[in-house]
Amino acid sequence: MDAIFLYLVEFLVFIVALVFSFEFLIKWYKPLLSNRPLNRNKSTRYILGLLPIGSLGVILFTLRMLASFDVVDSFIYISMYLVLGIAWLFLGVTLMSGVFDLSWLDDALNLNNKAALIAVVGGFLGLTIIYSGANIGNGPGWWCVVFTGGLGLGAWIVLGLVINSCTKTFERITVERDIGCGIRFGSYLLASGIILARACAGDWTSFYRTTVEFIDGWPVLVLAGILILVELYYIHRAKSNKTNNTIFSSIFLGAVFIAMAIAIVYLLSLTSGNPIYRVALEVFWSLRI
Amino acid sequence: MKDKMGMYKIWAPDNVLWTQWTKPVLFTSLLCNNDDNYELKTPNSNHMQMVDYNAVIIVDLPGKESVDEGLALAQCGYRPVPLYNGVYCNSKFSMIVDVQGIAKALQEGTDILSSLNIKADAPPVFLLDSNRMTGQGKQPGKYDNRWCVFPQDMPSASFLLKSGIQKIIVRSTRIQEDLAHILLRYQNQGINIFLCDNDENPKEIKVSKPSLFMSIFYRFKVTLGLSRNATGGFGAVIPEPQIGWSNRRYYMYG
Repeated sequence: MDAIFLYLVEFLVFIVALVFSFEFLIKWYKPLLSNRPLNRNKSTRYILGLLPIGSLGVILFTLRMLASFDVVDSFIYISMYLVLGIAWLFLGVTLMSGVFDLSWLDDALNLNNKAALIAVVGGFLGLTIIYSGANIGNGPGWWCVVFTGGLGLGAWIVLGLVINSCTKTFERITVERDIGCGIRFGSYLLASGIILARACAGDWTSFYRTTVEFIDGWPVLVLAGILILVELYYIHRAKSNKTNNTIFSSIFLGAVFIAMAIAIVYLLSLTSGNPIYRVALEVFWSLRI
Repeated sequence: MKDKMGMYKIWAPDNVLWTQWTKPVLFTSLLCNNDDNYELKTPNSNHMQMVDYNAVIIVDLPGKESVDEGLALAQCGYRPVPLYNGVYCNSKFSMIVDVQGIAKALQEGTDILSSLNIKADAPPVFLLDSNRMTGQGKQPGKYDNRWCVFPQDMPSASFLLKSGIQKIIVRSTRIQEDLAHILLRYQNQGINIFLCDNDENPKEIKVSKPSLFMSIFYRFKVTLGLSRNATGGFGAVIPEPQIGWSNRRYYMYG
């Protein structure tokens, strides 16, 4: 009886995710493919058009190689988690638009804002990697993916808001069209996605254990702190009328953020098996009250 | 007779700095046939006889008057930049904001504009329809093409200052709330704001703070109350409720 109930719930989740996926794909590709030759932003259209395809490739790779043992060889489960992934991206993009005021449609496509395009691409890839990370490891069902991914997404959004409250990043990207800021913030969104994906990954044991293990992603706080300092420096530089081109330095910093995130994930894989580290996490979690 | 792309390129030439802010929305629905009965009036603009390279003009007048004023200023040497973002609906559904006059004026004004020799570094005159938010929204069976101008739709204050702009002249009877969000950003960065009603000399004003100023939720909240067009801009049919066999109301998309 329980098994039938679980299958029924999984079927319902699949149907709901399918509906949202269709809605997302229509909303995403209709403006891109519409007969609007007046817009001259062909490269933006190509980039945005390829973005969901690339993201689905990343998710598919994760599901085939790193997901739960009962998913990797199951066509039905892979289909379900792929569809759930598209619905996840829909949620993430909507949150970026509503909470970050960073709209792929308004800013990147219709206004042809390159700074916003770069930030949106970084954000989209960050969302994809968080979802992929949530799929890594064994678990009893879809709710494990949604819960762990939700933790990652929540942290990702909150940190983005904190960065903006200190540095007015969203205004500088969407209104001032600061390409350097777009590169740095887009790279940060991707890099923080990589760290949070690592925090989301792992075998499921319980809600409590998963929450404790999610603290593995603490280096993302350091990364956010670095970005805030970097942005404050650039704001100071702009105020002192040093109007040099910031694009090359921003590309360099963006590459550093992503390299840092990859290095952190590698180092975490070395330390996470250490029992002292695990006890330290437990103590940290117990101190939250 | 020019095609839509040809007309758009006259209003938004490639080599002009301000082209990046031109909205293509109304150009996609231009009629592409000349109406012989239509006469474009180009009023004399007493307030701006000479081009001021330190000034940006925002024309916020109702309907085609804004295009007429923009063309008059183009004759003085300004570069008109259409920011109209409400879609023209050429079907049985009646539009909440009638943009037909603007679409026609843009089309007819193409010939006038192409005959003018506007410099590439000419200061811009941004064109807005002051009726953009008039009318009740979301009326069933109507085409809701109300729209707003957002800070993202116009150059930032730092961009204007870098381009040598020191003052903004708003050609309108009053400052609308959505425009206040943009003007207050300019004012806070030291750009002077002037309001010019009719043909009087512009008077300097202080823009008061609108609600949700600088809020990251402002645009999201406003767009929730409007109807997006799937291909850009604002405009969509509001579905009419239909009574089903169980007396329930169903909303059908026409």
